[in-house]
Amino acid sequence: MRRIVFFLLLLPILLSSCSRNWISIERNEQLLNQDREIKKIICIDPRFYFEEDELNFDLEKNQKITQTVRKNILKSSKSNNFDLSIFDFKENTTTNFYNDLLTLKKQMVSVNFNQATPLNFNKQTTVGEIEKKIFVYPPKISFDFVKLSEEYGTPYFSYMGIYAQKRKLILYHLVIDTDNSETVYREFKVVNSRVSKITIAQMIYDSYAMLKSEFK
Amino acid sequence: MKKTLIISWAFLSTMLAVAQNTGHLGKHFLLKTNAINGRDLGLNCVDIESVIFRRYSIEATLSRFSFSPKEISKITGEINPGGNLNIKVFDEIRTINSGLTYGYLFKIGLRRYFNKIIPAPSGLYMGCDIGFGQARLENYRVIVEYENVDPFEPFTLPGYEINNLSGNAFVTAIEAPFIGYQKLLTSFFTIDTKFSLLTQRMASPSNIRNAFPDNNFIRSNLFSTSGGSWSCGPSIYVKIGFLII
Repeated sequence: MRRIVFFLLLLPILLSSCSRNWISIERNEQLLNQDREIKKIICIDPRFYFEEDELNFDLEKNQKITQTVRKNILKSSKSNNFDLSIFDFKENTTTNFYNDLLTLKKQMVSVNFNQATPLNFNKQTTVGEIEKKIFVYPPKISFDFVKLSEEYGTPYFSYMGIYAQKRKLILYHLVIDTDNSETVYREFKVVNSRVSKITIAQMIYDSYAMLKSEFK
Repeated sequence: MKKTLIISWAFLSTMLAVAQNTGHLGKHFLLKTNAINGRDLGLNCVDIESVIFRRYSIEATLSRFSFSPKEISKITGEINPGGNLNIKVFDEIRTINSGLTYGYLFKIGLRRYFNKIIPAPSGLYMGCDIGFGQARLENYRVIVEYENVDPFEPFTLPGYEINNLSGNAFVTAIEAPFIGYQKLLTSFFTIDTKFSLLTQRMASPSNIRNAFPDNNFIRSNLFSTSGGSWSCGPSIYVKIGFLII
């Protein structure tokens, strides 16, 4: 009997430690300022990538899930009161898209990769935890994109990508403020799960819910 | 009625306000019903689960139960018709059978989901429920027999039956701990499997207790064991749920 009671008491600890998922959120301190609240976002070319070798790569499946990701981004942002528009290759494709938005996307992804200062990454994210940090040195983009806020009616541009590996889904969400040329929000989420519509929908919804919760 | 509606509305509003950033795609309330439970088979239970924080949810369950008693015999006394107190002649044996107990149980409980990254209500969880209810015991029959235990006095004593014993009883229950897994099948449907240890206290009504002075015939579920007015046993539930709000 004692063993059973001991096992039951130990069970929650054992099960909690089984989780290999984690979330790391870094944000700019300007998000705490009510005047800088994010209301409208331009999401540039959201993507789903399925990490698979060449023989098993299924382009059709990849495109289908990308469509699901797009739908979920629109739905989730709307549920969280964000006015979000998606600009990608299929809709609204103008010269501006190639000249401005794709260049911005390329730059926001590359600066967030290259400006990985130890000031921001002073601590390893614990598995099973949600860690929220404030950027000490927010990754900065070029000042060439300042004019975009007038053209699109908002200084906030974002990129969301979901990367699927075997039994692992990784979500990468970036939001850039072009007025200040700084990254304001960066989220990295790892979930141990196979590719499923429900998990993808949950991950995307939760990402926008967390972004929204920064303004409370 | 008006008060109940106001309290329910206040409760739901508070839950929704607390749970703004949780739930599955913004939905926090699940309505569930049993497909299988530990007492018997059938759709005899309604659950409302409300996600209150990222990992926690509260649930309210209204379940209906019914069972027939285990046939139990008990030596309840000694009879000595000759008046000699040193010699026992008969054992009085009482047997209870053929009744029906039915009633309802209302439980409230707290669940804690293990996965912090994917918010409740999906994944592995653990928790506890407490509840109360009312039971109706109907048409119980107690058979009283006398068994001769003295080989030197070969008498027989005729037995008798006490029929149509009925009454009400108050039920309290604790379902702790329980462990389970809730899976979202689509954006609206969930399937919830739960294993628990159900401990229940139900004292039989005074008229039944006078006829049969033991509560061992009362069960909490199919696999329970009884001791006094307490019964305890493992329960298994499979529930089908719908995400409603």
